[in-house]
Amino acid sequence: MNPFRLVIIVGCGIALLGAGYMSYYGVGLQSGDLAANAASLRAGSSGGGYNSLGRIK
Amino acid sequence: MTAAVHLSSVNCTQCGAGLSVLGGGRVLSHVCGYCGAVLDTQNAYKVIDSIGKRDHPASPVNIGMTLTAQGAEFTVIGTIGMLETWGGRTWNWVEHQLFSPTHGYAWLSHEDGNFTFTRKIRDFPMRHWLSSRQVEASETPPHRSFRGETYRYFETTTAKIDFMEGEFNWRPRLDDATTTVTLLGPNAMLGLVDGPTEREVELTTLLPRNAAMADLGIPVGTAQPPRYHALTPYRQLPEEGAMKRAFGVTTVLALLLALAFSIASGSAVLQQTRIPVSALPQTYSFTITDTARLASVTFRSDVQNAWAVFSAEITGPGGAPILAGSRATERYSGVDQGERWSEGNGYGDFRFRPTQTGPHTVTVALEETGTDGIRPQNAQAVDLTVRQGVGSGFWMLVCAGVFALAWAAIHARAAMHRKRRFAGSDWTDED
Repeated sequence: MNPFRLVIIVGCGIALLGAGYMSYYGVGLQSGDLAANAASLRAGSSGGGYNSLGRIK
Repeated sequence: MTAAVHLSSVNCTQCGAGLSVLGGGRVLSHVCGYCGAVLDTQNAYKVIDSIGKRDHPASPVNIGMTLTAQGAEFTVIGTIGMLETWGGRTWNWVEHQLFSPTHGYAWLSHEDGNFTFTRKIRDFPMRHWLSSRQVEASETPPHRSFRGETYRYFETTTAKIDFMEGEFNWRPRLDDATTTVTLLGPNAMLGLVDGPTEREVELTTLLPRNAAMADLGIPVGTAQPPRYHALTPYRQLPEEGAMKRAFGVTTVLALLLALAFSIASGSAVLQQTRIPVSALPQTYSFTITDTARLASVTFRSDVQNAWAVFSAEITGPGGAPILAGSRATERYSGVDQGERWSEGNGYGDFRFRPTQTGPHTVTVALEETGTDGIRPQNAQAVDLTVRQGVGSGFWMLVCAGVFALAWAAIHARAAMHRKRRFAGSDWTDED
């Protein structure tokens, strides 16, 4: 097989495997607003309200 | 310069200048480059016409040069200057008649720094002839099929001869006009030439410029730099076809895997439904067995035109708090200018990565609540779910996006080339 073609196929395979690994283990997808070792339950509270989802009526 | 061998010559019967004879037995006329006499080669070089002394049009190609085209060696035997005037603008180009003892007559054209090679063809079905009138009457660019390729209308030119010198296998006359309808195919141009006495079909291909110049003996630096030509071939990327296929397949696979990761949302290690909000805070136990993958805490409340913020504090196997987080759940709906709308789904979650296996606890509490809108309902109950082994389709979607962009970029490159080829067409949709 043409070496360049091999590089393309291997590259695609590595990208799929890499993305699959990161998706499977959730790399970098932990919530970023959690309080580690926290005593406070309030950490990360986003509040709420009529416009909290960005809707403007 | 490469000179043809075995030259013979005659003297001009008008001015006596020596004229090279290069063109073979089917030459009908010879135009003296010194005095402009048009000589009948079939009748003892008798003078039949004269164009007088005229300025030679600019062309790096001279009579006597040779080049190899389509596997045969041709000699330049004549030069024709062409002039087209339309809409107050003027275009000039130069065509050179070529002769090969084995392949007959052809044309070498020089325009905008490019060299094209043209041959008459006999196998075009004349019932598919396209005239300039038919073009004018067409709603869409006409096209014709020839030798398995599709040729699409490109331009119509009506040009006349304003200079000639050398030998020709016909009898050109100054100001003889021809109308050519040109169709552009993938690798060649089809010219339907409507001349003073006959109709002819020509096929034109672009010669590799540097190779043609080297063959003709023209130093590359002395010729004008070429402008883009409609026959400029598309330069494929290395393994372009393989790249397109690989990127397309990878995109589809990544999308399917993203879907699979999104659907497979781990296994529930704690599921409590309809926990009365009035009974909060409540503490529940669950066991974590997988620390390699993410875990998630999900709240779902029954709010309506209201919001409620729930918190969860999680303790590890030793009983010490390891993290805390909170999420708002909200849901709104109503009618606005006669249209029903809804927003939010009463759902909130967060994800964390457990560090230890073993028994854990989660304490759920209501942090804040409020209402907004008509007929509001505060949270009466909340569902709590803790899952482990949670994946995500996010990175697969990123992967699919990157490969889709790469796939689209390759297609766009080819599409831009096709568009650029026809950029010089005189077709307008108003035609």
